[in-house]
Amino acid sequence: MKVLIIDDEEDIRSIASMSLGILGGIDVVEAEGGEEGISKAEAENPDVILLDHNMPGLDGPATLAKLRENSATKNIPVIFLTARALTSDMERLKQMGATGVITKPFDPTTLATQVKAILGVQ
Amino acid sequence: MSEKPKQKSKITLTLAQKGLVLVGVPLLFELIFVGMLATLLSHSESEALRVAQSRAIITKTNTLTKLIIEAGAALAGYSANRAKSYLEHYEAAVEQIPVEMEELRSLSADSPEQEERLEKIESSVEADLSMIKNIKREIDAGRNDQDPFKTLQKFTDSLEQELDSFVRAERQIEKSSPQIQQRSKQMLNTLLWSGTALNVLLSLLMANLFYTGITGRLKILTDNTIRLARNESLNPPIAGSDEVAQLDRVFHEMAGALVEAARKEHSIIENALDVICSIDENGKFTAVSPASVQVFGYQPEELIGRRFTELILAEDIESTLDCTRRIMLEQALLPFENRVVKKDGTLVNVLWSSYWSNQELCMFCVAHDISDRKRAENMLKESELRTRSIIESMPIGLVITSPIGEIELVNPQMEKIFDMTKEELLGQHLSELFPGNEEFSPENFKAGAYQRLLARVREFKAQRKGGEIFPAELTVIVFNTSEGSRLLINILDVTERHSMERLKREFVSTVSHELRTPLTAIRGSLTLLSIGALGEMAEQAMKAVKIAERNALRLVNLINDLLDIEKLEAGKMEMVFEQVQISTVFERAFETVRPYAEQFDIKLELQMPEDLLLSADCDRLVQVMINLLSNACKYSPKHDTVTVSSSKEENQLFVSIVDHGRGIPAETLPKIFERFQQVESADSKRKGGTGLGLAICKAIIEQHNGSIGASSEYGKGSKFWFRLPLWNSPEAPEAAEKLARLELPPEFRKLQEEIQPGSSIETASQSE
Repeated sequence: MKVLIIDDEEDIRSIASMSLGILGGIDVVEAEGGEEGISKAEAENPDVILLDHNMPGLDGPATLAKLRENSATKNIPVIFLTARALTSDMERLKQMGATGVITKPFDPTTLATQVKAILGVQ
Repeated sequence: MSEKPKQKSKITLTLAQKGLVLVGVPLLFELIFVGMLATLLSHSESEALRVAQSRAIITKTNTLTKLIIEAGAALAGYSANRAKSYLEHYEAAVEQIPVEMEELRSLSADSPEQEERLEKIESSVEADLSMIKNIKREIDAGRNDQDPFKTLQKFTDSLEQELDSFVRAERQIEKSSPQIQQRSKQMLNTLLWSGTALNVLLSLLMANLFYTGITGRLKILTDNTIRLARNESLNPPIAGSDEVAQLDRVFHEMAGALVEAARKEHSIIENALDVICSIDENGKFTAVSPASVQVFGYQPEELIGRRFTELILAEDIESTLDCTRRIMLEQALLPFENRVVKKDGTLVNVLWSSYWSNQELCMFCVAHDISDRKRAENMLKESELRTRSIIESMPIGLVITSPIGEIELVNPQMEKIFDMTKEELLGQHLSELFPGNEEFSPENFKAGAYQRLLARVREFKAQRKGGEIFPAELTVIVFNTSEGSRLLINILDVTERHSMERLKREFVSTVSHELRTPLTAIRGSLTLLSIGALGEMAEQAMKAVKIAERNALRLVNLINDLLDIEKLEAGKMEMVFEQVQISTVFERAFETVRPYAEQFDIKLELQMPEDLLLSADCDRLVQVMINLLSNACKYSPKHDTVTVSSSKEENQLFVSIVDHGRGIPAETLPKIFERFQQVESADSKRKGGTGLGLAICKAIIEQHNGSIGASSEYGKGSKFWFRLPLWNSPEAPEAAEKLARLELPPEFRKLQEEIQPGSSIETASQSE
């Protein structure tokens, strides 16, 4: 299983990578912005993308929109990583095509489980 | 008066009746008098007539006697020589006898005493006549016999005697008549004299009656009038029941009423609290009532003869004199005020009501002490001034409106708030300041619906003159005035407060979000280290990492709670109400808290006689239960039991969480649901709470239209409880038809459930 993490914060990327990689045995690819994320998604074809909400430049929702427009990436499940946890936000993101939302700060010990659960895989 | 009242007369006649007596009695007397005179005269007259009649009867009887004798004699002559002349005499006599007899009868018809005699005579005459006629027939038959004439002679003699006695009786009557006439004349004389004397007497009596009955009594009346005018005592009441007596009685009553009125007036003047006095044209007191002691400090005697200006404070004299001059000129009742120097030197404010009488050449005054009123007026003025300056300098807009919402009064702050002048505001309806709000519509006010605005602070959208809409906080109070009820409305422009609150919320939100990212990194790193995912560490190093991780978690919890409470208080916490079984809430909360309870060796017990349905946001309710349960566990002694009970109370669910911990002191209990309130200030450090948990619980329960509370006995344990409306209760929050979350894939929902309680375990504010 391969996960693409798009987040401008390097520390978050690292923690998420470690958490998913070490504890979940998942391959992780990182991107530090929306543009890079989209190209990495095309190139790596990950099983799921963990997308940060607030990013300089192309932010999470804009990135999601572009991913959904792109035929190569439009079917890749996207899970938002966000500090905003309002139900309305979740609803909005869901309508935009997000598969799920994980709120920050996430628990590194269960991150992999959460991702798998959202995707419905063991 | 010289006349003495005559009390003895017991006259009960009215004046009209008396008049009738005065006229009627003499008239009656006169009538009787005249009647008697007439009777006497007629009696005298009839006596004279009777004498004449007697004479005629006597004549007639004599004639009759003569005729009978003539008839007898003529018959005797005829019998002797059959001479024709005898026969003629005879026939004439016989023919004349019945005629004369008839005339005698008619003359004697009125004389009953002669009746018997007359009847006898009549039958004798008839017998005599028939005897004569028999003799004539005998003679004519040729039977000349002397005997019949003897018989006739005897018979005629007897008849003559009868006629003679008849004549004698008449002569007796004739003879007695002059005596009777004489007596009548005497009686007439007596009657005339005595009648005249009686008439004079009667006139005197009537005059006396008139005097005693009318004139004398009227004099008493007149005398009484004079006595009343002179203020002397009246004559005793006039006896009787006629008009004069009635008038006298009324007069006595009137006099009594006047005396009583005068007595009352005197008593009023004597007892009046105000000084009642008269002042002559020289300004000197001529009479003063006893109240002067109280009001001026002077006895009335001390004032009489003194100039009234001597009492007046020097600086008030001029104005006082002006007023008195006007009163004298205008002849009007003009009140004026001045200050009087009392005998002890203190000042008293006096209101004078004065009237100048040209007739008596003096001024009648009533002096009323108005010092208390003046003091009260001054106090009122000061108080009014104070209130006015407070109202005018107040930073809150104040409006007074009529019960139908028309503005009657505004303070300067209102002008500032609404950017309008006072003139523009006055007369406007409140609805013009709060456009588009039904609650302020004139119809609503007329229907009295402003009651809903009373006694609570509420926020409305108001509009300034330029059209700018701004938030305004309103408090409406109703109060009563002499002109009916009025509304007092405090209006506070909360624009600034709103922007401050928004700024604060934005700040908290931004800070929280900005804190979350580094905290995610810190917590993540530490957790990875602490679970050994990044390799083995020395024991001391591991201990330090665990400390760092625990504290990072505390920070995360604090931020989560802060965000929650901000959202709840700003109304931004979104609740998704749906049908929820309370058993589900309990299950999820127990599941989450159980590991935590086990740490403290606490047993969780549930008493749920029946499962109940609610309209609720399940996640938020679970959050509340977790919070209350973890608090209970945290403060319970080891090996103890925390009991959760649920029951149905009318159309509400009642849930209680009971522990046997140290309890909450009574003074802390009322503040327990406020932010950052903990039983002991050390609790937040020792027990690791944020002090926000219960505030969040309260906000959540209230958003479910429920209520929350706690009771506790210090040292023995606490009981936290909440009530929520059941699913079918009218108070239950409306459940959303379409729920976003229900449309999420089940795994996402499950995950979300995992995330929320996960964080909630830790957010469960340890804030008992």
